[in-house]
Amino acid sequence: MMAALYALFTIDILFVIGGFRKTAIAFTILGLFFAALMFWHHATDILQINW
Amino acid sequence: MVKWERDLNALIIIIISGILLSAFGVQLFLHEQPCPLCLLQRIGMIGVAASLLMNVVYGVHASHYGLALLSSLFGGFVALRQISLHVCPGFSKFGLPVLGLSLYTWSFIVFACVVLAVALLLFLYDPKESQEPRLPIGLLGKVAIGLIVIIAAANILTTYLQCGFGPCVD
Repeated sequence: MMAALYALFTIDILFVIGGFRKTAIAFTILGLFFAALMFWHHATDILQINW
Repeated sequence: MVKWERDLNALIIIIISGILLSAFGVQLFLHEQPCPLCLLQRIGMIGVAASLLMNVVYGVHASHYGLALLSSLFGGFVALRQISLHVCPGFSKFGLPVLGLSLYTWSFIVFACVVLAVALLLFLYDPKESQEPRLPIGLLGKVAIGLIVIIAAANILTTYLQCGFGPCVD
């Protein structure tokens, strides 16, 4: 999952270089959303934090 | 002004690439495997670099700075979360300290500096100048592009070797 997230950001950078500005912006937002989900999984679910 | 601003953006990307390279150095030469939260902080840095790269390639836009701020907010929050895991007296630190501070503490400082740098760059931002035709990418920009592409691709490989395509073990 984490490797896929890195792949998503690498594709995002390739979109930036390739001239697809709006797609790159969408990919960055999508990547950050998935990264936030991953963070939630690693930071709270596994450690069973009581907020 | 736009050319100068774009060079500053490229310089920030090069600095972030240097930080990511040094993290690779710790991983490969000191054999210290990064934790999932460390990997997420790297993703935050790559997100900042990708956002600022848009300024280098397409010219300066406020939306690109917005993405950089979102990425640094994410990375800074992850770093702060990791600091809070180890900050209490008696709890062990994770990883080797550099100049007395853990790598995740340095990571938080880096994200705070990115927010500060973007705030200062926004003072220079002029929407009229961003409407001008695209300038060719300068030497600093080309170096920044080369570095961040190599580092992002290398991260896929090392993360795959460490975690596979499944979730990383905590």
